[in-house]
Amino acid sequence: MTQLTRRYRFRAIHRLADPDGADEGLHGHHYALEITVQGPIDEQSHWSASRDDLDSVVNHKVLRLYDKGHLNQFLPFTSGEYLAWDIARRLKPTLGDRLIRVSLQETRKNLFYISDIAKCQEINEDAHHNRNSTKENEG
Amino acid sequence: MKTMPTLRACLARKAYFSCAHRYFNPSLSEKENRSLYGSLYSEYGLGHNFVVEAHFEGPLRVESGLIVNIREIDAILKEVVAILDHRHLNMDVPYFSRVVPTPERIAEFLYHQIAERARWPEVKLIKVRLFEGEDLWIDYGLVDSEALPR
Repeated sequence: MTQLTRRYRFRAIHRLADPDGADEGLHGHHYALEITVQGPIDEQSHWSASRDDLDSVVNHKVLRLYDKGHLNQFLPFTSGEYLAWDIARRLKPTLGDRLIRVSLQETRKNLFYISDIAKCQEINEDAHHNRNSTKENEG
Repeated sequence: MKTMPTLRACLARKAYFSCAHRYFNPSLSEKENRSLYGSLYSEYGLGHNFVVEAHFEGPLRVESGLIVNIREIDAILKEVVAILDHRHLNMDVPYFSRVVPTPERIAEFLYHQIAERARWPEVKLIKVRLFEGEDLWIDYGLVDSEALPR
């Protein structure tokens, strides 16, 4: 079995909701996103995944929305761990079980990745149920 | 050789090489190759600075605290990497005249070449990680359910 990881970059701005009520300024990051897919090596192409297909899925489902975006305008939370979940949820319907890792580097000092990617759809729905109450907190 | 059976660890060592490869399956027509490889199709091929990481797992030896002497790993990596370094894989390496030298196949090739030479008792080559430049890498090996970050 082989795993292929491809690294993408996007720039976006956000404002983090501080649980203690302190207001953090609107700021931006140049994020690095790593997507890992697993699969056998195809007998005809001799690769495990088409780079063009993977790029097109990631561009279409994630980067088109995220890159140069204001994350608070379409997400209930904008923490790195939440972004990792949200990105996994967007990719999962197309990539299915082949998607085994989503990792997001926000700055040089932090890295977020999902411990159990099989659950990415259900957990994200829970977060959306609580969306209204968190919107108020985020002000 | 005595080992400490309860103390096991992993060790990864890197080696560097540069080579050219072309996404082209000789059993298909040029048109079929173009549609199969899309934006990666090219007439002559592409070049990369590859980095290979060999990951070993095993017990620590009582006399040294090492799994294996890293110089022995370097000697193996040097020998294996020399097969590919500064070559056009499709043309210069016989194995890749039949097998398309995608990073997946290069990782597989390196895995088997290294495993054949790494014959230390109780030490296993668990995987090979091959970086094709900065933005794409392949993990090939025994561990197939975990993908740890860099």
